[in-house]
Amino acid sequence: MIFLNPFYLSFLVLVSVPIILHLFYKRKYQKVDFSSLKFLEMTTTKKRYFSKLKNFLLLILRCLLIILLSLLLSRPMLKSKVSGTKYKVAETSYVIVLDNSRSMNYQEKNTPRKYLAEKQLISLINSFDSTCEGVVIFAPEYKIIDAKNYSPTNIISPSFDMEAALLTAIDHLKKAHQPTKDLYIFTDAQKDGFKKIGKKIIPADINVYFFDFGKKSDKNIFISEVKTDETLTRGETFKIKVEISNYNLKEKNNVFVGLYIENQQIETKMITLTPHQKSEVHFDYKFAEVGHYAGHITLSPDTLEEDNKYFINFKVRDALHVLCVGEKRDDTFYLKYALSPFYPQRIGHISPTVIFSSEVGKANLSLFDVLILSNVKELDASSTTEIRNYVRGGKGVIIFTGEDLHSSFYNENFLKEVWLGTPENKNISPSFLTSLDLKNEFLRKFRNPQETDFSSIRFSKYYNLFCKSNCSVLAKFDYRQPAILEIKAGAGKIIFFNTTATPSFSNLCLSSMFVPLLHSAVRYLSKKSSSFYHHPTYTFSHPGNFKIIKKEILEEILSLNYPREESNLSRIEKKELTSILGKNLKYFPALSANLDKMERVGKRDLGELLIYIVFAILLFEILVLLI
Amino acid sequence: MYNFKKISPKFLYQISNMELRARLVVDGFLTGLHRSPYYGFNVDFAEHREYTPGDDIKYLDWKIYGKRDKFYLKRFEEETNMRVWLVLDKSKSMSYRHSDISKFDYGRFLCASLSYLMLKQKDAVGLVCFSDVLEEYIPPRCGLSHIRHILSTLERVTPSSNTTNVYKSLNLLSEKIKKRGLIIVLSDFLDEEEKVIQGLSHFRYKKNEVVVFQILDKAETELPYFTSTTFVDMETKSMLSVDGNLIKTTYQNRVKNYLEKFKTKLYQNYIDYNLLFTSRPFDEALLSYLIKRKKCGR
Repeated sequence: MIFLNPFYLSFLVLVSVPIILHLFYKRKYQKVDFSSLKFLEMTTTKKRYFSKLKNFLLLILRCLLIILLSLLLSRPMLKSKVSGTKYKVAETSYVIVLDNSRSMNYQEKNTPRKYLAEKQLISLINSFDSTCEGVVIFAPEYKIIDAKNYSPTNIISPSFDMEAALLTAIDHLKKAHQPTKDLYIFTDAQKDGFKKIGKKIIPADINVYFFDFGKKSDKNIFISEVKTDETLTRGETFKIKVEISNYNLKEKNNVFVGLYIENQQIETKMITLTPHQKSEVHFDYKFAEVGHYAGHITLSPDTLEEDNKYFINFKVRDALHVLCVGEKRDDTFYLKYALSPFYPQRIGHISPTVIFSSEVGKANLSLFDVLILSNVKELDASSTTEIRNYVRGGKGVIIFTGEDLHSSFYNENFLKEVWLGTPENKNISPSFLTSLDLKNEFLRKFRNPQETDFSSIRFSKYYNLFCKSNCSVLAKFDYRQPAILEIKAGAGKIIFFNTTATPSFSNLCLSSMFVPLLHSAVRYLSKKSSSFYHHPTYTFSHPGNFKIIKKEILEEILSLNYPREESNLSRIEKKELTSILGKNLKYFPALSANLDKMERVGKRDLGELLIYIVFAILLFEILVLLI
Repeated sequence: MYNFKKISPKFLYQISNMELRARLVVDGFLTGLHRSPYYGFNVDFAEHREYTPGDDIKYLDWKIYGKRDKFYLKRFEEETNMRVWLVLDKSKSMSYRHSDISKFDYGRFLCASLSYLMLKQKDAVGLVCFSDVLEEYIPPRCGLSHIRHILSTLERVTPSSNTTNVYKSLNLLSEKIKKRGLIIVLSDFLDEEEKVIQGLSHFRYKKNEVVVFQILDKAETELPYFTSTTFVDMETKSMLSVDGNLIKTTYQNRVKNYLEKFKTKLYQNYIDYNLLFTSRPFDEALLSYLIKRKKCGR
């Protein structure tokens, strides 16, 4: 038995009142002189016994009355079990949380699990009588919908935030009026859905029924990741790396992975997937024409089809245009040949243009993807403003130092997060590059130590630098001074090399690493060169390739895919479920067991019964008094 | 038969003089009667009276009728011809009072009234007070001085004895009475029923006429106690705690049965029985005496 207002149980102390009164009253007899006790004695032998019995009975009835009233106020509830959905449940507030995530579209004997869940959900709703109050919560809005008005929907959410749904449900149940509070969770018990939830979020007075629509034997293969070079140029062969995850207990043979560009099948590869492993498939392709291309990767069909397609897009350019600015001719000499070996003739996919610092004002910066400043002493105000706007608009700038550099100009205009000091000579013991941030996309391609050798680069002179908060140090000298910095400025980025593009400070420009390092920096900075950030917010209902057209010109293609977490069908363990949802959890394997086998705990309000008993006792007391 | 203003016992209680009380009762009572009771059945002729319908034809003077052809009744000179014993119970139980007057006072006043009435009737009246023994004994005589002696005794006497033995007392008295007469017993008779009947039967055995006045308080038959009460016996001082409300009906039935039974047994023994409640006037008792006297005369 549970008491909703246990405070009122303290009223049981009042039971002592009739007992005290009874004892007190017993002693208070009126003394009367009477002529003869002859007839009284004849009468009272039985009556006296009855009187005692009557008084005792009245005492018991009054004590019972106080006990029952105390119990009535403390709202006692009796736990009772209801089997299946055949019998109606009364006086219950319930919330049904329906996981309508993509994983619930898993085909169970050619029927989506969401359909099975909704079927059981409807029969569950019907098992509550008119005294119950129920709501249904599902993604993506997690709104409270009256259970009586609920009808099956086709809404499938890309993901399901179980924490948000449960918090809404608990909040609703806390405000509910009925004595019994039930929470029904219809889900496939994906581990990812529960990992965010802290422990013991469900209050003790809520009964939790967990309808598990998942199975241990669930299997799924899905495209977990697709990687490609983002800066593609016409005629350049590029790689598309497709990562396939296998969520199967067994090896999966004859899996077909296909590449489609503009809905045309380009290539299909067959692979074998090992259980619980990721496999990679590589496609090589080159675009003959400049433009935007929509594509997708497909996978052999399986029981969860939602994740068998991955949408990608390609922006193919003519070349990457780089403007190299120097104070003198020597400052850009190594740069222009590093970017295009047969300069001014372009052979590669990078097209450099070389100007002096005095000519910056005349140049149309919007034509260039990247700007390189090499040993530029300082710039006039208009050029400075133009470059600053250029960076903030999403373009990239590479800065090389030199003897002529005015630190104050750079500190004021470009390196606000960095304080550039004075150059320091290290002729006696030159420095080397250390602590390279190989996770950064710019330096990621230098991860393989067999293909890279930074040890040959010696730095005899560099500027003293002090970094502030908003910059990341991509490499350091062995004296712990920053060597390469990435500074964010608006939508664009600045990569600052604390050395020269000439041999005066280091032998970088003469080393084998100069060309790949420079090319990587240019490609890295070219990535976000579009005006993507100015697009308005829009909600897409399904994944796919979406074309953004401005003034009848295709400006951008957006490739939207489902979150990959939903494809991972790893299940949460029962123990973990209990720790999250509390001990009141009743687990029900909804796919294997009949709903009628489900046992629910209900609370029967004893108030009405107690009221009847109180009235019966009152009547009995009146009768006893009348006898 | 009579129509007079009744004097309540409560009113009498406020009067201190016993003789005055007796006079008030008797005169009031006699005023209401149609015919004078002062003329008895003595043989000494007094006068003639014209016959009126309803008169006893036994006393018609046939000689006058022969002479005058008219009906005349013969009337006789009154004379003492009856010995009356007033036997009053003076046990403690008689002092019980729930209303205005106690049973003993009621008995005293009734004795006084009867003796005064008897004086007027020229009957010889005696007084005996008893409890477990005979305590006051005044043999029957006529005359105002004797009546005053009785009245002064009644004024003085109080309930004293803690026990009552009606059988023993009545037996003693019956032994003492040599000449037969009218025995009027005034008591609550809250004693053993059989013994009381035996005691009274003794008088009958000796050819005496017996009239019983059972004096009770209304409370003794109705038990008007609603709460839990401890009753203390006035004679034995024993106590009994009961819920008055609870036993009331049973008690009333038992008392009623007892009275019915007592009355029946008395009638079976040719004893006149009168139940008097202390709240009621004395006239019933006086009338009862006169009726009995008349019967005795026949």
